[in-house]
Amino acid sequence: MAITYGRQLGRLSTWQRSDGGPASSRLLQELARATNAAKSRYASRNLVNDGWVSALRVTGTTESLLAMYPALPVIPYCFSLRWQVRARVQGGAGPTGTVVLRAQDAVHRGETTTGISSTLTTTSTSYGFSSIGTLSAVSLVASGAWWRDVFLSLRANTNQAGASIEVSNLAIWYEGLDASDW
Amino acid sequence: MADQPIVTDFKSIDDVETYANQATVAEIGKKIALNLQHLLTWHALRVVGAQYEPSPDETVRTPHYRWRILDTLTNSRAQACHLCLLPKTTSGGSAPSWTLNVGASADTDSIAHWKVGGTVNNPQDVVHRRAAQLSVAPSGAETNMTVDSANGARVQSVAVVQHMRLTAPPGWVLDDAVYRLVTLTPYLAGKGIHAQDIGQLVDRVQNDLFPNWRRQQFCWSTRGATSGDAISRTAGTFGNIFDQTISTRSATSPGFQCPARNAGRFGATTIECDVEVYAANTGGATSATVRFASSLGNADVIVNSATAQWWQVAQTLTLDTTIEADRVDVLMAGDGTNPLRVWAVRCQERPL
Repeated sequence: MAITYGRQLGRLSTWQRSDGGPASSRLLQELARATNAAKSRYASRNLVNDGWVSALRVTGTTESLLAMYPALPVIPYCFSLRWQVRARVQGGAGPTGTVVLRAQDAVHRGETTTGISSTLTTTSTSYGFSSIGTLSAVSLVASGAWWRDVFLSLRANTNQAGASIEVSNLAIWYEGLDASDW
Repeated sequence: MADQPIVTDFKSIDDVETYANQATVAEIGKKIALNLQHLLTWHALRVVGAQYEPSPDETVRTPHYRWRILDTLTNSRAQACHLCLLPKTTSGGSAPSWTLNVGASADTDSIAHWKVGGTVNNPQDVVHRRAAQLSVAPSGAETNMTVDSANGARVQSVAVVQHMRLTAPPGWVLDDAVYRLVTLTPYLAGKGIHAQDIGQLVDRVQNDLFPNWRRQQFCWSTRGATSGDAISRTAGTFGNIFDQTISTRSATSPGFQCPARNAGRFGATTIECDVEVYAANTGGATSATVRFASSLGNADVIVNSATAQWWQVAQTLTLDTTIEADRVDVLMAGDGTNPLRVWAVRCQERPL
């Protein structure tokens, strides 16, 4: 069926008068806003939900690869990747452990440290969930060509040679805009 | 449509103002519908990282990931898998290779539904991508997947992505979406169009196109076939599958983060999920339990057979959509005498 502009205006007559603005622009604004908000609502979804019966462990100060994830589609502009790990540090004297989620494009994929990253730290010697980190999709786009696919790697290290960091769970998900403003 | 990302046509109000002078509402509606389609037609089925690294000379077929994919795929046909491989570095022998098997049988060694694979000829070729059509029975039969590697192909990680290819003519989808848009009640009442209205549109279009579409919250497995690598527990008290010294869900206990914020349909503050486990109770008819615990309650799966199989639960696991991510812990309890063995767990939203 074909929907014409005139029919739309007819249906909007009451709303049009109360707003006072040009009906066409306001309608389209609302459609755009609502569409983006709806996208946000439906884009909150899992990419990775992983756990290990034997925790992944890195000892020392060298950033080492824990896990690598291939070719995950990127949604540009208004979406970010959010992530969280469950981790703890042990050994050493009051060490700080760092977990890095690194995103790479198809050219730089693999076991290199190129790309953009998000970092979470812990000083706790008992397991706990980190705060929620963010990898901005805007950064993905701005870093070069549009990353159709993103390759993710999880890496970690500590700030002391004798300390280790253990990671037991990893979750990565899309998070859209907060729709509360609409 | 494979790998096609969402294109946001409206990046600012200025863009919209420009559009207002050029396009009809029907055209705008089409763009909205297209955007929503892209949003709906992509789904990560299973992503595994750092699961398996055999020795470079290993030639046996292994490992086996026990997966479950989405239910009825009547309107979805495209399936893609992405793998990160670390090929062997030693010379000689046969070239490393891998195979992803998909089948309805619990034991996918001899499955026939879908199989895709490749040979690793270049040591630098660390990422393999294959796209293939998943062809399962439209009756809603669910499917298991396994990954085999041979000749030292070290499977570092695997991602399986489902792209739902529309079988209906695009015009039908667009026109229908526009029609549904203009008949939304708040719109007719002159209150303007808000996010929830579009959300309702999304729900309706989604339900029309993919009647049994479900979003998977998590699907996790050990890397063993049925003969090995299960998580085992005999005690009749609950223990977390990742750390059996932990008996209850707490703020720090290990589990799966389920990002359900704003996912409540029609503004609901919760979503309902079905949970399943692939397990066997070596005690046979005695009752063992696998518990899924969210912030809002539990769903218990009773396992009372020595035959390894997928067990479903009649109960509902409820997730909180008012927080960014609700965590689900999985705990298991044997019958006190015989080991309960668990290979895989899954949680997915119920269809509309």
